[in-house]
Amino acid sequence: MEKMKLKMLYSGLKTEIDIIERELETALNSSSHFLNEASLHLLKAGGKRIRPVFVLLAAKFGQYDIQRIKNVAVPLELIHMASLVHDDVIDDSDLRRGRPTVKAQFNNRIAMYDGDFIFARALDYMTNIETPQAHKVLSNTMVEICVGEIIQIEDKKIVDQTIRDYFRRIKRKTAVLISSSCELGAIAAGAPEDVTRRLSRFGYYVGMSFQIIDDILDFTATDKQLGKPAGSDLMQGNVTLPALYALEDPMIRPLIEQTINGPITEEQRQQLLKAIRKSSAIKRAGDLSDQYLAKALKEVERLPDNPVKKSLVDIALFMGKRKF
Amino acid sequence: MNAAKTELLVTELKDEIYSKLHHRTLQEYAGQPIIWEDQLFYLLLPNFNGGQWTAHHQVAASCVAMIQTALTTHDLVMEHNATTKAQQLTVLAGDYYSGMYYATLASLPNIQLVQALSTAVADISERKTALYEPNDKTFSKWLEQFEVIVSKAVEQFYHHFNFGSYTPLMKKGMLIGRLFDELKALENNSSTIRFDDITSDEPLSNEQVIAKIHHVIQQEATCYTTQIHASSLLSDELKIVMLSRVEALISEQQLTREG
Repeated sequence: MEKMKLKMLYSGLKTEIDIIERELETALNSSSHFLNEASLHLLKAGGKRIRPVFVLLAAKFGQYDIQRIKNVAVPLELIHMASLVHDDVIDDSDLRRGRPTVKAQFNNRIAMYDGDFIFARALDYMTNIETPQAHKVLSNTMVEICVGEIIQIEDKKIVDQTIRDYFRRIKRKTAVLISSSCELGAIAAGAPEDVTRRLSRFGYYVGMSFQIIDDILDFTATDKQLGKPAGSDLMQGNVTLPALYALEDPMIRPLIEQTINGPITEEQRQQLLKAIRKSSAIKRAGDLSDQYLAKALKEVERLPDNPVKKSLVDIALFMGKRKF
Repeated sequence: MNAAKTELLVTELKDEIYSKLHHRTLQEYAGQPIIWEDQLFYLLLPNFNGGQWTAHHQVAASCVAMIQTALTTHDLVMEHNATTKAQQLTVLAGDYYSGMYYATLASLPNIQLVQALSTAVADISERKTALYEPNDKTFSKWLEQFEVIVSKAVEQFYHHFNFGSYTPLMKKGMLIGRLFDELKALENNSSTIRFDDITSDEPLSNEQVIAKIHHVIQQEATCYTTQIHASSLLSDELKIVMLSRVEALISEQQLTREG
């Protein structure tokens, strides 16, 4: 159902998305058959291709030429893919979207080389864009994502962290890349500076809302929908927004502490999920996501008239309201 | 340029890189970034030899070392169960150094060098992966892969700045230096490059691999020494510096073998 919705939302961009898909395949083509196998897995696993879509939509506010814009859209998706390959090593994850991860399929070392290879191919594509500003934005994004991940490890298992700590983390971990996708699409198309800034802010707010929803879904979606056990974030020691709210409840707090200090039994996991789902934490986190979504929509309102504004709103709403 | 001056410039470049890559948490858990001093020597070689060397060259050289450091850091991630905080931060340290390399070149800006080094990184990663693949393997093929892994980034740097005439010397010098370092690591069981299944036709014991590498180092060092003597590119003073470096390495190698 969700996939269908997304397909409909992307229908206006089908030709361009097909081009991006083909370019991704070309970019991941390697002389190493292990790397080819790993890439095939990544491509088959699909993904929402949110970042390329935002690049394409943002580019419509300037001189839109897919042959130029693809040089930004492809690297952004590749960087996202490479980060996932390395994240699976960090999280020791064997499954992603129900499929074995590269590290599970081969080993951690191959996953490191695969991620490095994909990063390299991303930058190679990006060098087709000569605008120095575009490279500054992308390189700062790469550093920021990494700093976000470092902070996530620093903050692991800390129950008395603040919501501000959580925002600091998800801003870098997720929002920055979506914001950069919008910004880079606009830069590559030569959109006016004020429009570029507004699109960048839009991407930031959507990214914040998206990550909060992702963190909610980790508790509310089923194992099958997630392709991994629900509650995985907490079991890995990541205290997300719903958990931060739930920690205020003295009945749930011990369950959360027990989970992050794990390991826990299946029964304990079910007990935790039930308690959090029943608590106000999910609703409160959802409200906060909605606030970011509202800010994103406000940014769209202020953009110059363009038929693509409706698509930006629709995709933002889809991301902020998705069920898994 | 004499030995003392070259050492000073290598140390200065190393300090610049340390300063750019410094991150408190990474330093605490993943340790100091691993910078190959011999790579710094070859990056600076055109400067040592009196070639044109600007601030742009210096920053670009530091970026080559940064990306190599990023890749080398990822070699420290264990094949299985990399679940400790130190290992998790080793993954991120490599990514962080990689981001810093790109950010530095983007602000220079030198986008063409980003392109050249991206080709190198892709090639290096493919070759490192190939060491795990069940291909037909011979020792000479393994050596060929190893040479590219250790010298490709500098080769691209030379090519980009028209320093290509130094490439044969650099390749040989990097091969000898890196083989020797890996050999020491192998003897301490801390090697990061894959030495298992080095050949598919004859399984080699650890001792046999070590003996073969010792032999290659000797052979390549002789060849390298001849190249230096015959070079019309290098100044006499630089020749002395390079010859004394290889002599020092061979002496240390002999001590290692005897020890």
